[in-house]
Amino acid sequence: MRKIVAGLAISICGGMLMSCGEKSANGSDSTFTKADSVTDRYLAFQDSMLQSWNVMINDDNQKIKSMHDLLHELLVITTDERDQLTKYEEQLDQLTRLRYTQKSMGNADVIEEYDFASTTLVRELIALAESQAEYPKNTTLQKLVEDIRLADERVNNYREGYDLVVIQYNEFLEKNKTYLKEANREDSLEKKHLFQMVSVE
Amino acid sequence: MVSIVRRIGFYAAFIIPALVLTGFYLGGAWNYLALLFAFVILPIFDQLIGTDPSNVPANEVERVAEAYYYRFVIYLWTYLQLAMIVWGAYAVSTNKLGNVWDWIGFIVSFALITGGIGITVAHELGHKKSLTERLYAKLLLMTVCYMHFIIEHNRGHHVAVATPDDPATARRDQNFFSFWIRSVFHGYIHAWKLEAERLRKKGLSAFSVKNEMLWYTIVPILFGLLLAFVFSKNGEYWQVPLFFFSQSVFAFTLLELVNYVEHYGILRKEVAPGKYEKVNPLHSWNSSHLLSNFFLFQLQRHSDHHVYAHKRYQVLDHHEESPQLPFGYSTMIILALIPPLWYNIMNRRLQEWTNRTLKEASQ
Repeated sequence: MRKIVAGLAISICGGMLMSCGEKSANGSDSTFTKADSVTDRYLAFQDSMLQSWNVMINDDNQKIKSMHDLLHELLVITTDERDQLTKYEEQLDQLTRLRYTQKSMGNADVIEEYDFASTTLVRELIALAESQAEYPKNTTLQKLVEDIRLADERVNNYREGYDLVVIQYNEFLEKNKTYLKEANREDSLEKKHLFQMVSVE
Repeated sequence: MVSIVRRIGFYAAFIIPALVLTGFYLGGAWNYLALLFAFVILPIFDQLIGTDPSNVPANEVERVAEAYYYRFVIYLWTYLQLAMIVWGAYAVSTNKLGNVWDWIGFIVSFALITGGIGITVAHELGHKKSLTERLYAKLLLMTVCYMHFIIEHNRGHHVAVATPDDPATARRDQNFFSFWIRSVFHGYIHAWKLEAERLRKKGLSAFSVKNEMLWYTIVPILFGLLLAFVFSKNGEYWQVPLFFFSQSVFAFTLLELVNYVEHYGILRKEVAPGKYEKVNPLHSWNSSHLLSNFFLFQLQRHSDHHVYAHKRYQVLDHHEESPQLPFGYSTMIILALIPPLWYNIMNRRLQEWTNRTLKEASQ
């Protein structure tokens, strides 16, 4: 009796193992469809877009931090312009709140408003720092001014880079709408907005 | 665990006033208790415990820098120091200090509170933009007759550090005693010049009531006289002024000792006539000795402080590439007072730094 039970158990286990192997072999051949491939590429595009966006926003945050640091230095070394500097601080705090998002940038005015506020503040802060008598010798002020200037110059490059990714992404969406719908990606099939730094042909 | 130690550690500075109080009430040679602690016990334990080169992780810096806890410690110190100076004036008026040795012990020990730690806290607060913190810095500096430090340090020293123009940067082979004269007197004169220049730009005379240097000179004297008026008894008017002004001298001497140690011999490259390379972590001596950094609110991480003056003490970084001091400040101060020993230890290190910077420049 024992032998029969043991024999049965072995054959059941063997059968299960064999069926597992079959399933996985068959699956790899048949389940990777065109929709899967499109989904893969879609996710890769999402990643590059997010990365490109984050690099741009981090750089902008770094610029704002340098502006805060510059204001801090000016507040420490000057006693006469405190009111003016405090106003600049308030404006700088507002700047982060004014900043566009991937959604809000659909309205060109949002970007324009942010750029105007940012450029004005950068220009005024740099002018104020450079007007300080000790500026030619104060390498801390010089370094902060340089950091802000360089970050300001990088803005267009980052936007261009972002636009390039978004253009490809939008084209990809256009071509593969049907497959993406199949893959239940309907919720995010909206085209992304561009800064229009690169002309769309 | 490490972060708890680091948080509690910054209360270590409060040991010094406790020792001064204890020493005074025990009397006699006990008035030297705080000095014994600061220049014998602390250096030994500082060396035994060693360095802590760890930095606050980048993703934590903002949170730690904003944490009120660290600000609270230095605010508390401000109130304590103000209370201590009033107590000190009272204490000397009680005639408990029996002879000249008791007086010396008490005054020099007291300077550890007001100069060793008090000026360090004032320095930290003087770099901040908030009006309250700047007021605290000025109050602390008032108790050591060194209020001009707030002008000279921020607008003078931080601009000209590691150049021949900076009186607070010791030159190679300059001994501390010669440095003291240069830093104290030139620093004071330079602060006047900076203030006169500011007023001139506003179309005001140097003899205007808006001249901060005028106030920074008068206010400590008035404060000292006020203490004398309140606490002097039985016609003995000399005790309180003697205590107040001499502890001030020892206090700012401690500051100058620290200045001497922090920048000894280091010079930035002159990239054009009168223009120097940007300040970087190579331009100040660094010391990451854990224990002495607790007592001095990480002032010893001075290389980072000069690059990022706005950073709060709790997030100052250790830079491996900076020139490193062999000991914490409490030991370095003793060495600075013995020039042959100082040159023997520091000139070799300075030469290594010079060779390294020359090599890097040629690459």
